[in-house]
Amino acid sequence: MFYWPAFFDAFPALLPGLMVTIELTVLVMPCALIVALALALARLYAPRPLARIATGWVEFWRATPLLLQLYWLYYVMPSETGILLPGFATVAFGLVCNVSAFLSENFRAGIGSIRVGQRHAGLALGMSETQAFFRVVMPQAWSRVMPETASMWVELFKETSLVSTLAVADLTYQALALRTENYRTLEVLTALALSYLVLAYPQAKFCDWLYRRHRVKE
Amino acid sequence: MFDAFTIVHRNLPLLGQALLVTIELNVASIALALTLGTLMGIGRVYGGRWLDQGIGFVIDVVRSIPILVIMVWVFFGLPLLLGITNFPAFLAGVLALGVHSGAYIAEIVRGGLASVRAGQMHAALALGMSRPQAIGRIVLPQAVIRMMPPLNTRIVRNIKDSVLASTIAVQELFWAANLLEGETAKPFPIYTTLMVFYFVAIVTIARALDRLYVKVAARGAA
Repeated sequence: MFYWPAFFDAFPALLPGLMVTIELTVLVMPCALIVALALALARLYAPRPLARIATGWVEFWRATPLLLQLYWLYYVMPSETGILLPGFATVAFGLVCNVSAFLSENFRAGIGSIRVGQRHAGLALGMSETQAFFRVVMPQAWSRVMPETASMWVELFKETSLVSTLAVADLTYQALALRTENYRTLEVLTALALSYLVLAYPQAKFCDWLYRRHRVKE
Repeated sequence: MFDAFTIVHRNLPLLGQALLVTIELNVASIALALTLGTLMGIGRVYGGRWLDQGIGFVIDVVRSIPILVIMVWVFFGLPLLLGITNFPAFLAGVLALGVHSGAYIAEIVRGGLASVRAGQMHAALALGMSRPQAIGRIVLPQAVIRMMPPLNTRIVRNIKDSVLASTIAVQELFWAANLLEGETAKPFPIYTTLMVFYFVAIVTIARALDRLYVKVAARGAA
């Protein structure tokens, strides 16, 4: 019933899709980190109106389904604004907005958890505000937010599968396409699930290790 | 511009029906996830070393596969494996969401149970309770309150993930929106309405769950 040759043959066919999935993850994550830091700083240190806007922005991306966000960008943005981006760029943009919103919450909490005395000490030593933030506060905050950031990376790696619904030829897309070609549904989809498993499992274990290593001891 | 939204207005009965499916899908899958998660969490903490490692592996496997992939596998693959015909999409959606969220909830339950001091269990056993009684009456009620914040996050996540059931043709809200978009080619009013709806619904639910937690938080203090 389970036709093993079809199962093994599926992997080479999925490879180009895997490349797109990895590309998307590697491209989105650094952009999201930068945007997230900017959002967290805006919410912590910017004047009230700007901080409010940043909060609203983050809340919006956190409180709506990612698939809907991607569809909105993909279908509504071109028809209403005339901006026509390639599919890959559209979903990458959507993923950056979504992931950075979640990351910024984490950054905000991490930066907020470093006692204000640390910043004062930096300033007392003659550092500027920027120096005190990047040399004193941020390095300490980073070790607190790192495990959560690493799990967000794994989360993003899995979430990229949603782009398959918008004709971006990622791992999931290739599998669904192959399924309609050879009708070996069970074998192809099992190969798909196994591909994600083999790639994400070690990453998830690495995250667990980071959590143990960087546990905050009060 | 507002004329565009008459499409939504005219199709309210369809959307209402779809909303009902979304609610049913979420209630059923969250109930399944809580059941599975509680059983697996208890199994990990009290089931001995082998059960702990076995369940731990299953949880890690489920958590490593995207929910979309689990969903299409359950809907298209599982019936072939079991030789079932006419597998209902709704059931597949409930199973996929329930198992996926259940794996995350199991870890929350495990953390919650582990956070209750061992003395509580000892005291219950010393009073003559059986282990199941001690878990059910003494340890779990204390753990539940501490589990609430991450559980609430997970419930909200389940609601957001439930739109993925549209990909296996469960006739929920997002499926209905895609249907309307296909018929009218007017994405703006349809997807914008849905976006606003989800935003309001999810923020409301998240706030309500938070408030519930604040109300009972003091009882779970360590």
